Amino acid sequence: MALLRQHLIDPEVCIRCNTCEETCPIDAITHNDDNYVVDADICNFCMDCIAPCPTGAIDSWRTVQTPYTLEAQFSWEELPEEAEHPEESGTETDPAHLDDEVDRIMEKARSGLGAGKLVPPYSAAHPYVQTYTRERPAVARVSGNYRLTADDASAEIHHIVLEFGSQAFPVLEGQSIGVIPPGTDDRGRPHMIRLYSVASPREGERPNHNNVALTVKRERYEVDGQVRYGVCSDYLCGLKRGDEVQVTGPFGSTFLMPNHPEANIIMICTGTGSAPFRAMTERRRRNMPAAPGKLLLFFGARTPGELPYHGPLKKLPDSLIDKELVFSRLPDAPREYVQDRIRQRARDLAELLKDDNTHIYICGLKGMEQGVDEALADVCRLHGMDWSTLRPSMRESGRFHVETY
Amino acid sequence: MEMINYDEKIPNNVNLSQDRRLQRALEKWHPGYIDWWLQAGPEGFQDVPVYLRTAVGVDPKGWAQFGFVKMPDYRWGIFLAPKEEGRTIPFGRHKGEPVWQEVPGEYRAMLRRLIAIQGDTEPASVEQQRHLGKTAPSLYDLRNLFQVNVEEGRHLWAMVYLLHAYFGRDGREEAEALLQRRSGDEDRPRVLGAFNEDTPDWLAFFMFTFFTDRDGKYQLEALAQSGFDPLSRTCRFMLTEEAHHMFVGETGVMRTIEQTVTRMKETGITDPYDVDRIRELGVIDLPTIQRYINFHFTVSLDLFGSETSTNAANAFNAGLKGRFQEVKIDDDHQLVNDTYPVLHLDGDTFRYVDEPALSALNARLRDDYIKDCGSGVGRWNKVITKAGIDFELKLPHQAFNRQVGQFAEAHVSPEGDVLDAAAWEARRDDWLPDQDDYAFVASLMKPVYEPGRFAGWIAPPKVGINKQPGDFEYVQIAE
Amino acid sequence: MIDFQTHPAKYRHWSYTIEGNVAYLTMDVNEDATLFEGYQLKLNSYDLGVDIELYDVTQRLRFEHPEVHSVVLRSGKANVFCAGANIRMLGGAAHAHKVNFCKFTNETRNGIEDASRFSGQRYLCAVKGVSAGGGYELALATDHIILADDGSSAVALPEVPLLAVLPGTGGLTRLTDKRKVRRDLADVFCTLEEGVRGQRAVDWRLVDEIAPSSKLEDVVRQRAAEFARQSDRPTSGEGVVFTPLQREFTEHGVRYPHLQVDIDRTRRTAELILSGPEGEPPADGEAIREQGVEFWGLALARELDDAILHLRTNEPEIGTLVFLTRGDLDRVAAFDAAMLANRDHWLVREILLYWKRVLKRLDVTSRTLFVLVEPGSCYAGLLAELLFAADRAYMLDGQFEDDDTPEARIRLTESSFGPLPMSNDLTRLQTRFLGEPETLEAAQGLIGRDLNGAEALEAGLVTSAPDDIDWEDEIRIALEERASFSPDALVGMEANLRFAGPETMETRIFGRLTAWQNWIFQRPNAVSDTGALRRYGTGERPEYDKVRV
Repeated sequence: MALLRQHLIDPEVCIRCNTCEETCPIDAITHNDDNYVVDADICNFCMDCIAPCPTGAIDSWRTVQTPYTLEAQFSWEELPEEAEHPEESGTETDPAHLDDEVDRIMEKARSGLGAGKLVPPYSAAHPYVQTYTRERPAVARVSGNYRLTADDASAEIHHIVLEFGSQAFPVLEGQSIGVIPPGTDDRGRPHMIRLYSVASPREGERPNHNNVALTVKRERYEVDGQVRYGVCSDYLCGLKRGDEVQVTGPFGSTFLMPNHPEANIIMICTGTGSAPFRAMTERRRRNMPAAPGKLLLFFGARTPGELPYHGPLKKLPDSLIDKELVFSRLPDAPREYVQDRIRQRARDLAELLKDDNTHIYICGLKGMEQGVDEALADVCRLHGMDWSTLRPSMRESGRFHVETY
Repeated sequence: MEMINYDEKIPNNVNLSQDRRLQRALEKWHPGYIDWWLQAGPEGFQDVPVYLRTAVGVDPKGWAQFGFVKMPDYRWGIFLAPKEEGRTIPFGRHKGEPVWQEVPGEYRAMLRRLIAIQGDTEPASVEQQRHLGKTAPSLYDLRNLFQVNVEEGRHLWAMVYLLHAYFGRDGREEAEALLQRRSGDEDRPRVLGAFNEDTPDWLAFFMFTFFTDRDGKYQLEALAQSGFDPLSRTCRFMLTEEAHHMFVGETGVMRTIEQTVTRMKETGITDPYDVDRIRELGVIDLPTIQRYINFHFTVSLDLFGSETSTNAANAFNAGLKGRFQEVKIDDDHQLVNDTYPVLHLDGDTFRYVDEPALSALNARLRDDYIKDCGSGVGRWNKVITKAGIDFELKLPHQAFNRQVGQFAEAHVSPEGDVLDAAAWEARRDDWLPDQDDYAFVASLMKPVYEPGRFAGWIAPPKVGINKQPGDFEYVQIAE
Repeated sequence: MIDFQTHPAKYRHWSYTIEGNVAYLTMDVNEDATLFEGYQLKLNSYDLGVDIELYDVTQRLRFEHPEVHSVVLRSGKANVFCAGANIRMLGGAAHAHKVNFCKFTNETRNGIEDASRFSGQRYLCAVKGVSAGGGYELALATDHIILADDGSSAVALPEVPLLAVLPGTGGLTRLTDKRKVRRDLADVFCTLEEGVRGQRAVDWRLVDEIAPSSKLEDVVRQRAAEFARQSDRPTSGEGVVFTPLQREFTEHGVRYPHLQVDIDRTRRTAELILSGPEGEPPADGEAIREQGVEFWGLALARELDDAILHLRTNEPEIGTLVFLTRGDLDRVAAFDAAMLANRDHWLVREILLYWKRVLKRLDVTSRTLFVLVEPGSCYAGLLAELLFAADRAYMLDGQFEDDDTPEARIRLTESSFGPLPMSNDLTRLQTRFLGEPETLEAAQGLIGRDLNGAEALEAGLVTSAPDDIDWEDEIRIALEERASFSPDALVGMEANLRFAGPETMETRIFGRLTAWQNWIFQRPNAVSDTGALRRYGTGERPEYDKVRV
């Protein structure tokens, strides 16, 4: 049985002002003398009621197998605890439950971290993992699909938004979801699941919408002089609004964002590796714009036209995020890579690395990993630190994360 | 969704840029309004960024935009709830006829009076609360105060819009008068009594927003039913904002109570009447809170006017002002032959007398209001019960301490006992806050402007505004 | 529909002959030619139809016959002069009709007195047979009553004992105010069903003289000739023939050459749009006479007169009359000046007197009167009087947006300071500024000056001067609000406010009519099934509620 993300109202916070009931366009909200409640049979997650609520009580959610009845909700004096759903969700620490298929991908992605137990930042939220599987996928609907890169750019990168409707699909920044491309390969086997980092924060691409955004590059390669496209990316980039997509996951329980506002986050990426960082940045922007912790981004691409989200990124204020956009194919300019820029910012990086609140995330092409590692080692050396000991200690305290492909 | 033109001086969804008449009238009024805000609005804090919610549209998703803004730069806009196509007049003699988009000439005077009285209450509360910033218990509360203030300012705008757009020169004069009157001014007081009372401290502010602004909510609810569609739409949108004021009041009192009972528990005080010891803890004892309730509740009851009222009957019959949630009431919505039980004092006994329903509309709206207040008080009591303290806050009897209506001459205790004047006077200080109470509460009113910190007499909120973390700097005082 | 336009060829009740400078006007009511069903006009009794002819004939005598210097009113029936208003007609008529009928009848009689006093066309009356009620009231409207002294001819006001109503068309008022009959004798007279005959009638000042039947004709001729000699009218020459009005009635109003009446039935409002003159004014009085009924000043007066009567009688639910003008201000002023300059010419005098009566008719019209002054209007001279006849005048301050028409102006002339007095014998401006003589003086200083909205407001000449931003709403709301008030309360309020200042016989006639007669007309003692009007002629005694109110 699928899990449901049920919309509820916190009776301890609610002041019974009737605004939500007035606002709801389909009369899903009702009340008795005690409580205002949401009828799970009617609510269609349009979210019209969220913004007008003066208290925030309306913005309450529980992942459930069976929705709470109106009678149950009327009787509450406070919201019930979030129930665990062990039979539905495994965790990564229990690999027996992991899909072999996904397991292999994840393992490969994190190989750069070396052996040892992986841990999330201490302040990360508890993730749901693998609520949906190949056997029981979630069915999402495409609500948007836009090309992000310039028409003449060599890379074709899309921004794709998937809506989950009433299916609970709780994700955290840094997690991935799996997409099952329809059809079979030339040997008649179902296509492999592909993983995509979620590019939107936990409340959804639009706040409080049950949706996620993905950043997908249409993989293009040539075989014997013929142009071929990656099965899944070609499928995703070709989707139209309203199309259905089978989704598994979410996946990942360590490459997660620290929640405490003092956390500094150093984000190093290339291409679509920026997706989780877009999610984290959005989270900070929406929920803690004045957090004392710093965001520092190193983002490499060939040209501005190939850097996904280039426009919106440039508009983010420096007070929110310190951005280093690095281009390797600008005309009339020497080639520059993220590791070059890391070295330029050595002094600032060294300050940050001395702080226990600092977290490093690397995401992108495998090829960048080594160069970044060496650059960080140089930074440390210049400022009297030892990267070879700092790195494992950061990893063990959940402050160093890598996902490359 | 109707698009809002941000380029205009005055954000709106009333097609202001196309309406030369309205634009000129409002733009003329605007400098006077800003003067009023600077003179009579919040004292200090006018040039610091405050984390405020601004209405930028009437779409449910678009109407609450949070951001830092200096109050005089706040974008007071004009917003009407979206038009319901085919809406008909829901009650009264014209029931079933299409709603009016223009002021029907025959009801001009009545409508203008209703709007002017409603409009007068909006700036009044800003004036009453202007000193409170100096003693805010936290940046969170300071921000909430200012949110209430700017939204009352916007509500004034909303009423002024109606006066300007629909009432010609009379309307403009009326709008001007709204800026001339001042709360508590001997010569030019605000129209209604409760809006000339002091709001001396934050507990009074919370009580005011819970009880007195709730009167506003009920008046707006009744006007939101109006057959004059622009008034209905304006009030419907205002109600969404008014809910925030209820929230500030209800949670403000609740957090005060919570802090009191938490501190009592921590120090092992179980007797709520052990007032001296409780006050030594720097928290407000429950009996004082009860006295504040007694005062603010009864003053607010007066705002509903006389129990039986020809004006109310006329306004209802004309289709201008309905009942609370009119469309959800199951009757003929004309009330010509109906009755409604109204509480009367007959010598020493109270009894209900069936009055013609049309003339008893004030009493009915007040009854709905009393019920609503009661459930709020019930939620406060849960905090006390949860802490294991044996005390129950109560609404006083509706005949207690009244200045308006049939109980104005009576001397009734909060329990509903009818007394003589002397006996009542003798016990006044048991029931209503006295100078000692005010002095004690005032002694606690020390400002706390550090992000994330709260004065000792009040608990932090459960949820931040717009889900901000606890130490969010809602008002950026330090620069 | 009741039409106020008629023509001697169509008369069924009246006829006249002219001998020298004297017109003999004979009332010989055709008892079957009634306006409504259900009664016969026996004994020279009358209904509105009879009065419409009387009004027509008095107008024609003034305009068509400059040579007529006195008019003798007499009966065409041998034994009765006139029995007054028909009782069965009154018994069956709706209240509003009774009121309008009485008002019109009074206006006609005032017109007769106006002719006697100002036109050099004096009326006298020969009474042979009974002249009762309205019959005697008709006689009272003339300057001189000669009663046949034959033992049976009598004058009487038997309304109180017979009908339980008043001699309402000026009867009581003219007894005391015009003929100055002693009040106790008047009291006795008014309760004597059979009236007063012979010498006593003279002694009590009820008639001017008596004459034996055999001498009656001679005396009448002699007196008529004496009156005629005092006249300043021309002894010969052409008059102006009242050709039929060009009118077109539609569902939404009436259209005349210079006046358009647009009726909005949902708002219960009529717009009366008056057009100013074309071309240059005629050079002198004779040139005006040559233009005749085509002359703008006369044509518009006739059209307006007819329109007011039409609206009053046939459109009882149209509660508000909104006046507008269209035309050239200078041209109106030029025509106004031409009339004032030639006011000694008999015809021009008649035209100005006609305007005076039309404006007075407006004054006593029980409808709300609003005037709108918009760009393109032409309130100068006598048209400016509309501003002061109105209950409220709204003048646009400035121009309308996107309209090049220059801002409206008004212009006062001598017309507002003498020739067009109200029933109270004061000009409308004198009445308006009763408490502010300095404002009146200032207004006089403004003669000939063009005043825009702000200036007119400052001078107290208009009620309100909204700018174009407010104009439309202000007017709409004022009209809608007006339409929502009780018509009765408005009638009372407006009539009270319109006639400030001193009382005159005319103001008393209308005041008493509306106050007393209309009250009595509503009371069961007169109009219930057992009341006097209904019981009259049945042989059954009326039943009275004996309570004094």
